[in-house]
Amino acid sequence: MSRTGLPGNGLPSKESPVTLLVGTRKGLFRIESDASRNQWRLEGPFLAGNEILHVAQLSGNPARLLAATNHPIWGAHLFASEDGGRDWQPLEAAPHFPAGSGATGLKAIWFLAPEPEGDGVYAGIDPAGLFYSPDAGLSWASVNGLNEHSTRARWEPARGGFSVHSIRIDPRDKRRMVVAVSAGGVFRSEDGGRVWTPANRGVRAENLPGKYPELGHNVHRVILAPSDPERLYRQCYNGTYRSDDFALTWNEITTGLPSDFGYALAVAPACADTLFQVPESGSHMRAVVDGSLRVFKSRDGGASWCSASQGLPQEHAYVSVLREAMDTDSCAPCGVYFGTTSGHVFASADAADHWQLVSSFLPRVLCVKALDSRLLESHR
Amino acid sequence: MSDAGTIMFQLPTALREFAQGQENVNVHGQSVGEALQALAAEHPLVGSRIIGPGGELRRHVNLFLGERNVRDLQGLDTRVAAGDTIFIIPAVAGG
Repeated sequence: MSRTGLPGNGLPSKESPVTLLVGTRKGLFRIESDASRNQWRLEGPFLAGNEILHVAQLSGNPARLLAATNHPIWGAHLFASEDGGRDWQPLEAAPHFPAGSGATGLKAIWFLAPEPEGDGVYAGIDPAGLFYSPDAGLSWASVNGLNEHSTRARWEPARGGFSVHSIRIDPRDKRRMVVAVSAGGVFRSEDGGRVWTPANRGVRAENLPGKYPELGHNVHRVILAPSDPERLYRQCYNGTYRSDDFALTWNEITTGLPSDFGYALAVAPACADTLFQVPESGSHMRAVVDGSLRVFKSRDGGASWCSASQGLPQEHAYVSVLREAMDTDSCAPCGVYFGTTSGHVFASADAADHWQLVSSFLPRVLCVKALDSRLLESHR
Repeated sequence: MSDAGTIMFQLPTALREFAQGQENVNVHGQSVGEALQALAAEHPLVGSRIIGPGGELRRHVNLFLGERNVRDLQGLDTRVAAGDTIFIIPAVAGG
């Protein structure tokens, strides 16, 4: 990977087949395109019967994938694939707090974040915890700087669980990280995870008494712009925000969106100012606003927004797009992809200007990850 | 019947892929907990799906000693004898 986080020379490739890994409540599906990204073919389910909460691609070996799974009977586990997501092998180890500690059990593995180089991986789990594996998931250790943080007693579970997610690592310096705690807010480290400080300045939290509290925010999603890693965006319980200083301060960019609530948020890898969001009607309904499935796009870092929804159902659509269920590719123009709670997967090959339905009636979509198919194959 | 001196676990279909396809696994132990530890030592991927990271029997996994759920006996402390069979059965409440 280049220092910008983009494959190769840091410039987006114009045409490339893309593989979508679509994690659902009942297994993983691969949806692979041709080079034009207009024709799609679905395979699966793989890991049938398991919830697939997240999929990650290792930096040191892009053909190696990790999947975080959950099963209502057999629990939360990790699987690894060496063939681009068809064959999966269970891993013996999983990130969890030790038996007898304050936070025990492992309800779910919510997020996997490979370091920019090598085999190191971070995992965010429920109950809220951050763990590190130096060996691609074969062993795990608690990141105590966060897990034993002095503010932990002030964290509380959100409706969806009590988790660490949105682990973002500066591609230029792996010691710089941000993570989200739901609900505890965003935390930031500059020293590889030893010291963490709350990073919520300028972010509303209407679930708490003060308008701009230091922490306690219910964070839905945080993303990092690979082309300008100082630039972060976050979608919260109350509003969408932008940071230009790696989470030290945040500015609200909700104006122009039809609501201040949502989960799905993605940025174009080659342009830090181009981002995509799917607003929802609020915490009560948790479905897209007015039954209209709309992607809102900004070309100016959130200063203005417009609906970019041609090809999406504009009435009687009462679905949600979950926090990990939207992604972008590294092509030019940027491809954008998302899956809905109704099991529909949509793709755009032109930065959200036009959409096509590429699969329907899958189980509830929990995560979508777009991978360069050639990168998967070239490292096998 | 199990061989004399051994406890036999009967695995549900969903767990056999984590035990090289075996339906039955023989172990030694004087309690259900000891037998489970032996099963987990031999097949850790099976063990981690029956016992959670906190050391607890997973909520929706039932262990039957003969026809009795060990939760209605002494749980993991339930004594077992050579020739006993422990059935691992997922609860219908789990999904």
